[in-house]
Amino acid sequence: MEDLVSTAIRSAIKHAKRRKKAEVTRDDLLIGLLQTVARFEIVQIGEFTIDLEELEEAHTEASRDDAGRADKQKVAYSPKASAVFDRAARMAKRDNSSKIGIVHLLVAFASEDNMVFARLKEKYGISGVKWRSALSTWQPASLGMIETGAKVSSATRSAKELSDKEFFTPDEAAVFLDVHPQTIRGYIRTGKLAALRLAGERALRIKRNDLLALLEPYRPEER
Amino acid sequence: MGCYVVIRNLPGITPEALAGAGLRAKSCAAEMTEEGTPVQWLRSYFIPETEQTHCYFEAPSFDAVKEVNERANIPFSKIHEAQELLPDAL
Repeated sequence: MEDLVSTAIRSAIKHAKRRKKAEVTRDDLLIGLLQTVARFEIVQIGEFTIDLEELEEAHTEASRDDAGRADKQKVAYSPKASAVFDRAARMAKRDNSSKIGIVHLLVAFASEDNMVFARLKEKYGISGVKWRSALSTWQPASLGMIETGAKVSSATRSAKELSDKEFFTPDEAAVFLDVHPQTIRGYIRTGKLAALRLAGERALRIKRNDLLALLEPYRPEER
Repeated sequence: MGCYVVIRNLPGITPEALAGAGLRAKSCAAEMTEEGTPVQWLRSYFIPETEQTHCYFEAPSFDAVKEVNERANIPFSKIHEAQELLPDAL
């Protein structure tokens, strides 16, 4: 399973390509990071509820003039985006983390002045200090477990351990089918996968048979 | 596919900055592979005494190795084709 940071960076590169940019900018990187942790196009970091849909629209609009200028097949990191990676690496080190996590990349933007982060500052009243403070306690349980490769928890048991279960959380379902948790959430959102809600709570459960029903025989002639 | 060594002279570089560069190299290699040019960053060695870094890549050509480093925005001094020798193979 691809880790969250790789997913976020690939998303950033795709974003740059989609806009026919020659460079992966800080804006592409920040949007890629936020997209990866978003749910229903909303990112909740501490007190801030960020509407990603609006942010992406604003970014695309502002970048329209650049369309067609660059070779979409080859994108390189801009020097400023590269500096964000270096700062994130320092943050990870300070955090005693052996790997650069998504939180380190996000917190590395605290002192940046790129357009997307400037918009966050303007719209949500985010300052560098508030951003660092919000991220210091931000660790969505399920995402964090996958990112750090931490030992087994109820959310990230191995597929083998899950084989006898009748009901799965979305994260367990992702492990069971070896897909990204956001894939499972997407299936639930679009109605492709049935989910049950525990009475009066937000928590979702998925029946084993509904998960198995997602699998269908592969026919080589299919395109 | 060939093996290539990328030599970088990075005076004053910190291990943390190397980690940031590594993440960029990894993502660019994955991107180029997806585009149809299979490039893989194999491993790197930092030599503190000379402040040099030797990074090994597997790629179809010299140009592909050059391109992945340019995309990752990691400076380099030289790229050489290399031959891999493994103790187990001898």
